[in-house]
Amino acid sequence: MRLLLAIALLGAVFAQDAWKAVNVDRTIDATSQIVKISTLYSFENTGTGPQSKVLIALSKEEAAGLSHITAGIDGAKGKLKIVEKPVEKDLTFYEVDLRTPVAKGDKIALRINLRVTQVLEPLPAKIAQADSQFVVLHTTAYVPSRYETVTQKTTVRTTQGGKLLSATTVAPSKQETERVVYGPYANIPAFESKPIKVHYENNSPFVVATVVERFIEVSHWGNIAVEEYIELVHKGAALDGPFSRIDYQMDRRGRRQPAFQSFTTVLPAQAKDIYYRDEIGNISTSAVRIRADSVDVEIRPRFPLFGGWKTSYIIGYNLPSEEYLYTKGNQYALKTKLFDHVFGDVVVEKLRTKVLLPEHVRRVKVTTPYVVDRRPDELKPTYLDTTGRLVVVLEKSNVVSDHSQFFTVTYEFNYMDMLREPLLAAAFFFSLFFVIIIYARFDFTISSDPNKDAEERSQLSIEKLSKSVDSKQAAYDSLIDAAQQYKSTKNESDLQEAKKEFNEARNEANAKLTEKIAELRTGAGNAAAEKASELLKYDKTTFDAVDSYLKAVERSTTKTAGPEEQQFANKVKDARSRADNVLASL
Amino acid sequence: MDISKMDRYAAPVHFSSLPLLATVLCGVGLLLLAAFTMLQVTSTKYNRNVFKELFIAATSSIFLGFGSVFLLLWVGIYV
Repeated sequence: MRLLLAIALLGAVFAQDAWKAVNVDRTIDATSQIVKISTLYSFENTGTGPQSKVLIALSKEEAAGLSHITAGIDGAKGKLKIVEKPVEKDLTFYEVDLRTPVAKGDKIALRINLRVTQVLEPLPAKIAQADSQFVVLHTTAYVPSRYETVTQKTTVRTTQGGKLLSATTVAPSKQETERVVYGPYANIPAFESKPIKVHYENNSPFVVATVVERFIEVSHWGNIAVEEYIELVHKGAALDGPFSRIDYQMDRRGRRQPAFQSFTTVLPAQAKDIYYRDEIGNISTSAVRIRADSVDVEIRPRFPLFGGWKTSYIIGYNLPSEEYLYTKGNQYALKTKLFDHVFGDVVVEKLRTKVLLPEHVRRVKVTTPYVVDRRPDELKPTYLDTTGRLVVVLEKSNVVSDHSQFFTVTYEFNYMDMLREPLLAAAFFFSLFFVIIIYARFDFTISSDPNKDAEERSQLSIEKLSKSVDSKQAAYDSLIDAAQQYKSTKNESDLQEAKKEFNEARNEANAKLTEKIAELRTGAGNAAAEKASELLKYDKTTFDAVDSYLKAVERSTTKTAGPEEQQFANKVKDARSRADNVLASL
Repeated sequence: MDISKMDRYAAPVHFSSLPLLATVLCGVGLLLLAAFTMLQVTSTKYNRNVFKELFIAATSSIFLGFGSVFLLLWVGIYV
């Protein structure tokens, strides 16, 4: 009996709501294509002890189009952690972690921000060029809640200066010029719902980017190239009937037409080499304005976008790596935006961010500020690649401007791999040279030409002859130097040494010459060989001169050059010029 | 590794020195290429020297390889 009572009591504790919403103040901003819901909850802990988790409810429409949700304690900075919970009675729940537990009986003020996309229904669905666009907002008069709400109020903001066609009445509710106020309502139980419709004028263009493909190409040569491929579709009320350029130009609504005329894309301040083009080339209707902390690109598509129309374009720019790439040893980290500004209040159906890392990176890790779908890595071969660069592919659907946040890609890279690209280019050039070297060694002549052949052969012999003559000349020169040296030092042994060296060099050169002349005789015939042998004849006279010269040097006591020396130098010169003559005549 | 403990990554070659590097390296490479061509045109069947040719080809291709990479970087192809 006692046990039963205990179980019953325990059940009662769990059945009772742990929280009570004392006051809820909700503002629904429906002025653009994105429905921005900001709710200020004031919760009171009515449970049995301190609690740190509270459930936030979203209606079915909100949950279906939910793009971004943030929670924070009112008046304090920092975001709270949110976890999605299973659906219960048509409501989707998000559990907010309050970080510090709230004591029993205490209150806490929570601010929840939602971005809901593609829930505004254009009505009529088709309009003419001169018409304005009207849309219907489906929402609830009561704030969806898991807990009992004591007082609550909802304000729906509609377009400034726009017409408000109709709004469901749920007393007490009142329509004002730019807003509809529902409430205050007292003591609404949990899970209570009251659907309402607000039909109003909304001329802001409902332009949705169906695809945004963002390429971030990292080059370790100091550049990060960013390119975005964007497909835009106007998903508001479709244009019915013809389009008149004159009517469009003369439209007195100006920029307040429901057509998409131009927009500003905000790029990072360091962006340079900006281009804006599509499949058929550069789109000249753009302007770049450099601001203090950004670069604004004013983009005007080739044609205004009316309902149902679409366009696509590519925008790209370069960023210096110093701002976004970090390193320590062989560790690298890229910190850049996962999604960047396209235009204010943009809705992206599919965002695909591709990060092209250099070749041969290892251990790639991606850290994102929100959940994204990481697709299998790809390989993309580009300039001077062998296997292709690693491409990290990240995907996310239903993205709004609030998703423009930084993410980090860390990887390992060997710095020496930087050399691979120039060496690859060098190898390419070398292979070309090598082909030429090989090719030059083939003989493609059909009939042999003996005259030409002999000429080439004798050319080679003469080259060799002149080389031998040169080396002999050098031997003479060094001997003269040694003799000069001897004159000042009177060192007998040095002179003998030099003499010996000279004799060796001379004999060697003479032997070579004789050999070459013999070669020449077989190759080029007797006449040439006869002439060449004169080279040896002159050598004899010169050698005799050397002998007498050396004797004269030994005898002389003066340190200056004597007449015999002069004589000898002249003889050597003479021999040289005669040898040159012989070589030339060959 | 924590990103706040990492240093900013600076390029090994600054952008402003790319034009000079590309011109000088490509220029030297082309001169050597010219020397190689001269050697090929003037030498006959009997006086070819394969080591000389290979040496000129190798130095020329190193200069041209580095020069062309810097040329690519200069014109905005970030390899």
